[in-house]
Amino acid sequence: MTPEELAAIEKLRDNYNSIHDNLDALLDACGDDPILKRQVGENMQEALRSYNIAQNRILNQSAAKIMRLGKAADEAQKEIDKALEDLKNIKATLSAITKAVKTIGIIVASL
Amino acid sequence: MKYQYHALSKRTSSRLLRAGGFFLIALFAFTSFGCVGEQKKQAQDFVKEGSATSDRLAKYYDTLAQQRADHLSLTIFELKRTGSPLQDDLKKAYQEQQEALAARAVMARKLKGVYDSLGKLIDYDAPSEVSGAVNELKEAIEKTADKKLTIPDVAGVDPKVILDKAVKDFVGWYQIRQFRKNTPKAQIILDGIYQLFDSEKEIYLQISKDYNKITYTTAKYLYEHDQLNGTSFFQQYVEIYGLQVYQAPTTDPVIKAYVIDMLAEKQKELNTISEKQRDGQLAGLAKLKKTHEDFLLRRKHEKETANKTAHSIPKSVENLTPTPTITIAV
Repeated sequence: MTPEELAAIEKLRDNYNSIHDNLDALLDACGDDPILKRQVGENMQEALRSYNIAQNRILNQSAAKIMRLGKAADEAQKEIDKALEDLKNIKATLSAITKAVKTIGIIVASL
Repeated sequence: MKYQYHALSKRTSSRLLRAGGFFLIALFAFTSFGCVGEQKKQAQDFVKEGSATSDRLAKYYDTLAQQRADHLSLTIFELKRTGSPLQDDLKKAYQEQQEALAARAVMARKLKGVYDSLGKLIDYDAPSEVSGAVNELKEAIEKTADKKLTIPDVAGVDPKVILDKAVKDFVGWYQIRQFRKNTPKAQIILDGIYQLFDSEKEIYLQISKDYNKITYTTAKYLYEHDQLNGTSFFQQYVEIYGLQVYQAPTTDPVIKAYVIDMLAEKQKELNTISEKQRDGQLAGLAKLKKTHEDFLLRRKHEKETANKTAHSIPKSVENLTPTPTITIAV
């Protein structure tokens, strides 16, 4: 995120806070007028929506990167699990060689 | 089935024994390359750090996602006071944000999965597993050749003891080699996550501080509307005298003003904690990056040391410098 992008988000956040932090005072100023009160609510929602969308724009910039990292992690895990299997296979290979050596003994004996 | 062993021809028997000797020397040569036990311990510590750091990161993202969900709930409550219903666009923006944070938590958990797999790789007791199999092989060769295996030019040494140590060291070395080969994979993902966190850290702090603010304004509203008992703030000071505060809303304006001030102070305190948590996550990732770099530097240093050691190996065994495969040239 660039400093300019951050400054823009902070500005939108300030807009939202200017309504949110003074909500009680603004509603009091509306008196008993439900239309005015509703308008305060709608303005707060609009300010909040703009702020959230600006944040989301930054978060969504990295969506592809997150997918790539996730895929890389999946592949890395598979390869590490394979390395463990290979390590376990050393024992299996040695056992197979032992069996082969024993078989040689039997074959030679039968000659 | 019972095996029957018979003496082989003199020539075959001699070849088999030579191969056995070759095998022993090759394995023995591996024992001169660093202390496997120490490297294994370093690797285990390193993996534990990686797993714990990525787990903390995943939980941090979970917390942010939950804070965003709670922010929406409390916003709906505030909107009730204005009479304005929640707009679909705003709800959607919150959902998108929660999904984005959840995706980051999943990514952090995947990194944890990589460290956990590296942990399984290094924790596996390969030397003990293989040791038995090699002894069986040695006995099979001896029975087939009808002669005891010996180390050429070294008389009076029990090959079984050397064989056992050499095999354990070789497999341990191979295990460390596999571990080192795979650690850069975790490092690449870690670097990516670090960069991402660093570039988005201000948004994370905003999310946390927004949550602190809306919980503060909600608590203040509830307190001002006599829905909370603010005198509980004093409980810790009076209970040492065995007293209990009344569980009823206060009407005293001084107490009311004090409680509101205390709420504001608490919010500031929570903001400081949020900042420390965010910075702590970044510092944890930076520390893990450093551990990775140190681990690779150690590897480079050990490679250099190994090369020097290889030059000092006598000519007779020079051609037997380590290869990751065991070969028996019968």
